[in-house]
Amino acid sequence: MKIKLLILILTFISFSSILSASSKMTSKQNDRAIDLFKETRCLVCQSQTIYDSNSELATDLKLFIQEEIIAGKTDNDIKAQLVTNYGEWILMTPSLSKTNYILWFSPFIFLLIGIVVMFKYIFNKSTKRNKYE
Amino acid sequence: MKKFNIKYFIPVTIVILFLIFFSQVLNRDVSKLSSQLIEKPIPTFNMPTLFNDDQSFNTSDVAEKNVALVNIWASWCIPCRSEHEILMILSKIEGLNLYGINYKDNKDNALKFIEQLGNPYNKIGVDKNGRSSMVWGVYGVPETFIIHKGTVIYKHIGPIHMNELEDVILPILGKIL
Repeated sequence: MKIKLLILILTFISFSSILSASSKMTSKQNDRAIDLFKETRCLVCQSQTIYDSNSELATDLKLFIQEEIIAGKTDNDIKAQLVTNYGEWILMTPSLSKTNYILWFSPFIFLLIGIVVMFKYIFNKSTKRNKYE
Repeated sequence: MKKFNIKYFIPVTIVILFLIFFSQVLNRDVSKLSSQLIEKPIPTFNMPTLFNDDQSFNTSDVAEKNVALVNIWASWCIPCRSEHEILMILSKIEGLNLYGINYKDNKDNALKFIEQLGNPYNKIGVDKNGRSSMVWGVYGVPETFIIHKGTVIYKHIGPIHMNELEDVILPILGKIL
């Protein structure tokens, strides 16, 4: 009985995977598609990626990405196309472009400022102590 | 008396500035995302028209006009119904060319919608699967673009209400017409 159920479930799973649009892709292409899905913001459910979303727009975008991959476009081409259509915001990770330099490097700048301030503080303390000794 | 030292106020000031900055960013209305297309030339597109499959609605239709308005709609979209009245008003403005993109719709329903509510559009393009509208950065219906000499100058997400027509749309059109 249990085995029959298992077979039933397995056939169902294999069928549903065949029926999906991704069946036209090789497993490598499929991996690329999934990586891109996870990189693309669903614009109607803004804190989700299209990978996590079943909204209509997310489905369209997934289909678009799959078709572009099958057509032989590179990941960067596809991302660039998405940005031209929908804007930089569609990418979950902002690109390292001139407009985003502050975004990317400000944490390091602040860290550097912090280190300088800390060293100055320690240095001041130790020189003061030296004076009193 | 303790000496007043400005040094101790610097961290507090920085924290306050950060709090102001973050509250500004968080209070921003995310539904009013500016379009990628603003101040840019209209995207390249080509689609069949609703009334005649052999005719096409494409970039040059819109780009050649001085002032054009592209509205993305569908018969299944309830807000589009209420907005249609506004579009009928807009269609009476001289020098303004209205175009429609019928988004993921059933042809018969779309034709019935136009028959019932009137046709404000010079041309209606059909985007059966939503793919051609992707270049417009569309993520729902209705959406409306105002185009001046082939450049997108304004994008309206959601239906245009009467007050928005008066306060936003007409002033923009007034400047360019």
